[in-house]
Amino acid sequence: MPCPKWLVIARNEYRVSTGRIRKLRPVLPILFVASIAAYLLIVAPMIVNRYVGDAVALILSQIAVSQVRVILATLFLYSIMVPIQTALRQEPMGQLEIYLSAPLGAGDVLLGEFLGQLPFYSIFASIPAGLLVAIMGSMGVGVGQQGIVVVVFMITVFSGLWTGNVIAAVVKTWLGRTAKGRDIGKALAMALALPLVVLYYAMAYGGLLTAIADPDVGVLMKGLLALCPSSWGGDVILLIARSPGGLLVDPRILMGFGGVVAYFVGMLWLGEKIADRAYSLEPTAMTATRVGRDGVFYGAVRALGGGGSLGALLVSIFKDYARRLENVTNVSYILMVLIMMNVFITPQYQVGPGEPPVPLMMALFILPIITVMVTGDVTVQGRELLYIYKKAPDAVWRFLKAMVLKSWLVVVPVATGTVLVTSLLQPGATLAGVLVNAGLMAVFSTANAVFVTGVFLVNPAYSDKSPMLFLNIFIALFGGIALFAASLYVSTMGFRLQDPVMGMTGVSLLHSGLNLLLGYAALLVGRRRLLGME
Amino acid sequence: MMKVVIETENLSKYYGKGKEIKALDGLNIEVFEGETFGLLGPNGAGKTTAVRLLNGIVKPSGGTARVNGFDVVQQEDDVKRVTGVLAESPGLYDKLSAREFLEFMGALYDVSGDLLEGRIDELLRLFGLHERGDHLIEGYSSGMKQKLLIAAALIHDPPILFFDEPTSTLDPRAAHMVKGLIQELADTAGKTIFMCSHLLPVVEELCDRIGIINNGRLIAVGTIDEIIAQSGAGTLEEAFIALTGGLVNDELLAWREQVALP
Repeated sequence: MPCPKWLVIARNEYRVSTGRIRKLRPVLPILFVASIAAYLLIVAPMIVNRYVGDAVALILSQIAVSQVRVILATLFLYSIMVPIQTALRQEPMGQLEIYLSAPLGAGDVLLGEFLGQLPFYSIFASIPAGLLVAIMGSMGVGVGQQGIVVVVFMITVFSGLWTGNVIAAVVKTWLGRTAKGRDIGKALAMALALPLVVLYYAMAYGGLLTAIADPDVGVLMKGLLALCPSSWGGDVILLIARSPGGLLVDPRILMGFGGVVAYFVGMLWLGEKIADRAYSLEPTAMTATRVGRDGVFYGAVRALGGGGSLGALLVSIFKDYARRLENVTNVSYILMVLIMMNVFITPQYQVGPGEPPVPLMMALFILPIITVMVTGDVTVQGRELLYIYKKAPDAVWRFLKAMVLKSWLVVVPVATGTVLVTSLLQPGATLAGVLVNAGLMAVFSTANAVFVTGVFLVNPAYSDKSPMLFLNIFIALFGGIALFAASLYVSTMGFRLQDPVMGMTGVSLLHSGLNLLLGYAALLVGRRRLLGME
Repeated sequence: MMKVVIETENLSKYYGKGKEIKALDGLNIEVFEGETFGLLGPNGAGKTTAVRLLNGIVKPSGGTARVNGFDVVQQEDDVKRVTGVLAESPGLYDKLSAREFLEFMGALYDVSGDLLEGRIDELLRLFGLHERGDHLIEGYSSGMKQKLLIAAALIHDPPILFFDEPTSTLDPRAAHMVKGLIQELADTAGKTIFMCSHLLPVVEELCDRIGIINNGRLIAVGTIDEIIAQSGAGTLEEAFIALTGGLVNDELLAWREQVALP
């Protein structure tokens, strides 16, 4: 009997996902199961034991229904978002064409792709599930009831993931047919995470959970939550937790459980029905994007590059960067995180006289992420593109200069503007203080751009899937923090002084100086690496 | 006497710790001014390595080479100014228009602003891209991209052009068009052309002389007739197979008779 096609696709997806660790493949299932078992039996109970009092109190409280529903709804939304974001970042059409040219149904592709990812989804879902089981265990809930809780929870998460897969299949195929669509898809992948970020900060720092529990507040939100399948699962979990050892045939439990299962089955059916439409290779548009002649903006960019050859190079590189929508959403995402931190966290900290302003400190640690996003693509478009510079006379150094200038053009205004605005919004802000903060950030972001460019050139990553890229991101971010610590160490004479010499201004300037110095050295090394690239 | 513009002496490129991978091994060739020379060889024979070495993109492990009188190691920048390259897998900025890409390439080769604008217009017209010149490259077909890349190789008007597999990824119509362009560049513009390919008809049609390379070593050089005569074969294809050791394994095809297909 031939193997079902969805199983063939699932196996292939699994192989693709584990391609980098193919030597471990034979023992991978054992490792998965062992890790989950160790987590369930050792780690989760340890975590829960520390907070068991709070967890039990929450579950037994009046506000539990609302709060558990919000938490599960967030998890459910996250489960939907993960496959969509993953799919939108990929270039799917080639692989899809292979599948669709074979004698199989589109439903096989959808189900196969989902099942291929299921082992990894299961690990993701087992983390909160393990905590739930540990809490239930500490409340005296029996093994049978715990089993029901796990099943309900897993079905809830898998329904979200399947829903996400179905939406992803439709969206990615629709967007993947044109270059512009693929561009929008990549941009959308980051933009989709923004509502979740806002929700997280609102829950963690903005008192959303408390507000939602108030009977007079959030009626609309509660109504919406009641419609979400995760809430039906949440109600089942709460009912079981509140009646340890009770009967499982409680009609409310049966209804909630039935609802979750019905939703999952319904979504499976719907996915199968729309798979054909989702996996269509019919082109949606054949139009090419036309660009206008350079306006004032690109004229200014060219002038900033000193006109001439370097100016033309800078404009070209900058256009290639700015016309990729994902770059805009990446920067917007980090800015949104910073805004959320300033809205929800900053007011909780009162700064004494002479202490560093909170917005500046936050920006010092958050904004380098933008620098990494802007600068990290220095070699990521591949060796073939870099050969253009290697072929042209003396072009590698000009290329590096243009890349640093491009980073400055994006990072310095964004970083300085952000600190300017957030400092202005601080209670008791003075104009002098605001300008000093903004000035320090301008100096730091200028130096940090050199440092980050250098880091990404010393170990060049030639594709956005290269492990080297992630290593570089790690080095750039944590190296920056290490340089800050070093600056603080030097400014306090090895932590012997309580306050740094020249205060935090001195620390910030020293930090910038170290970034510039190390960055320039790394640029020189990177230039040698590029010249020697074969 | 004809002027030699490309000259190599034992040009070699080795990779690996013990230099066990010989990408190019002792290449000795001479290419004359205005001639179209074809380097023919199977995949992985060392053709692309030869192009990269002759353009100063990679450094040789041994031997020397001079292009238009300039040493590829000592006078790398001078070499780069007198050559234009169409690479086998070229990099492109997809988010630039053709006009913007040519402007970028012109800036890399220090073509002055006044001259550059006119030359871009001229090249876009010549290659039939003028009407799509302001469209982003990401929307171009393979043939259009290839035309743009040839235009980019010509932007600084170099006397010597290198084409690495210029037609291998193109459909017959686009390939025909590219072949026509190369012929025009050789006949009308008087360019010296160094072309690599594994497509025999392309080489046969365009090249004055050819060299056959296999496993990094040049195994034959001359006109097509000379090479056919040297190998004792009847056609260039037979000569190529005889020289490079390629065989049609009849046993390999016998599986069709042994395996019962539905």
